[in-house]
Amino acid sequence: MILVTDQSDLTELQKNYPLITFINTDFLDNETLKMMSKIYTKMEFAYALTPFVIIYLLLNSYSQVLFLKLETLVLGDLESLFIKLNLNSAIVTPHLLSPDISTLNIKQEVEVLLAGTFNGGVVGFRNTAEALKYLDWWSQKTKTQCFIDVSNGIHFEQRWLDFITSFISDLEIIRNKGINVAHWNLRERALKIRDGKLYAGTDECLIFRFSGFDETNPMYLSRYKPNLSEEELAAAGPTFEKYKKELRRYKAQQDA
Amino acid sequence: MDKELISKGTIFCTIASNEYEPMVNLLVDSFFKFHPKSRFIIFSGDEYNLKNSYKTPSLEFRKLDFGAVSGSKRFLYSRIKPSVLRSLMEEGWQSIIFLDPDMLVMSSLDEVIDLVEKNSLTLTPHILNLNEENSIENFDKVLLNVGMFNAGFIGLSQSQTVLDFLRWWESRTSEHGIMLPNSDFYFDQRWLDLAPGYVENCFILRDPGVNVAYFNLSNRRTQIENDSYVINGSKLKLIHFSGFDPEKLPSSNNYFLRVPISNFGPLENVFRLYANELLNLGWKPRSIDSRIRSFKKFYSPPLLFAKKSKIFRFFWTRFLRTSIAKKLKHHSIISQIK
Repeated sequence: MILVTDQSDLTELQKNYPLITFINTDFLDNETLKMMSKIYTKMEFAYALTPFVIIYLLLNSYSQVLFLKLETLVLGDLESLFIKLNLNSAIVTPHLLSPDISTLNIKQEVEVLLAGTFNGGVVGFRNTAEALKYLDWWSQKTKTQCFIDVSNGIHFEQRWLDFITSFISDLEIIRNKGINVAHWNLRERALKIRDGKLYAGTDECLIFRFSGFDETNPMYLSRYKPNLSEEELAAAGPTFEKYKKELRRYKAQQDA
Repeated sequence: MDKELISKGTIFCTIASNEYEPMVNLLVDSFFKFHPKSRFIIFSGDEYNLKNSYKTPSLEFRKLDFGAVSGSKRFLYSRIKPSVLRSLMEEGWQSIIFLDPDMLVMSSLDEVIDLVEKNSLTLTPHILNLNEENSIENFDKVLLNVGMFNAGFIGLSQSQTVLDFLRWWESRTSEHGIMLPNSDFYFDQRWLDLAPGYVENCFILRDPGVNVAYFNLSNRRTQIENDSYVINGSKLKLIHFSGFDPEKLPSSNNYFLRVPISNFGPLENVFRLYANELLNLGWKPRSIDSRIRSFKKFYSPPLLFAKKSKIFRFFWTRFLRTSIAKKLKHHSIISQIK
């Protein structure tokens, strides 16, 4: 299911992609919608809706919701995540998984501390009282405080995710290195290609995130890290090329 | 019943300058009341005048050497915490429980010890829920800057993962364990936010009776049952007098950050008794307000108009961070504790 935040008529989209269910922002009450669209940019608005859409889906016949941000490529079966979710109220993926004593890593760590310990691009919730209580609190925060204000500790919807360890007791922190591979953790994920599949250490890479990918500057994996070394990117190269190719294909299809 | 802790089993420790001597005396007193056979180490850079009754083989005092590193005591002591914990782990203790000096043990910690032994790293969040009505105003934003977990309680158990984590934490606090207003560093504590990702089997202890403090009491229901304090249904085990100023309390209805002491329910009396005990034991440190004032004087932008400018403040804090980090770079204290 895809939430389209800037389009109310979804007939054409639905016709072109029949396997996907599209929803628009009609599930929000008018007052909230009006207020949020007024104070936020398009990107902030979309990020702010994360807890809202998860609540909506959990309260409308879905027992589990795995949220993926739009710049994501699924490379394998995600059943293992749903198994984890079946046993917990929520699952989250930390940006970083291993302490690296080198000073090289400090910059990355400070960026993560400012942006949020957990990545908002892959989160899962089950319909439990604790999960809904947290989601409700999170949505109250993103309703008015989903922007960048680093000096006050705010970084879009993501920084509020740091509270999840405090508020949810049955929380699973996903430590599978193949989940949520992205520019910020390439150094620690030791990517390798084996039998045509991408691996992060011994874990098969199941979710690759292209956070910060800019179509107008497709040379770089992420605009946030234009100086990413080839060595760091190495094994991810073919996946990156595949992503760009698929994007071009969809764009051509759309234009046609 | 006291859990029997064998040699190199579980060790408790605190780190404090002698300014905190009255607090340490009360902590040690309360600890041995419930765990008379357990081991406790006090780490300090100063000499201590411990009560004679504490001079038992179970209590040890170790002198810290800060070498050439200078700075405020709070800065030095929070900076050295990971080094102290790493040194204890290298000595071979199976489990280590760090307690801030401004804590009191209120009942047996056996359940807590069990959890610490079963998990690699045990941390306590500042808050367990946020009831907007009772919470300290904007406290969620405060936590975004100071960290989700309170560094006043830390439980560790012996493993290579934890040792690697401690070495990393030590390296970070030795160069970046500083506090700057509106910045991303808050002593040793802010770095702990990365712990759930960095340490497999990091346990978030959500017992409302552990690390009970002004920052979470407003949201917890305190009752007295069978002569014991019960917080949200859990027996009170560990109370943390964070931000405590005993000189101010008798004449004020407010605690730190303007939290009304009446919010503490039946525990209000414990806070008042604690203040009296500290004063009786010769409490002398500078008041918290004056520490904050001197801190602000040193770290705040010098011009009045600049204080109001977000952009100026942004660059000012970054300038300070860089210059302080540079200043400290060559005075690492990492290797001074073995």
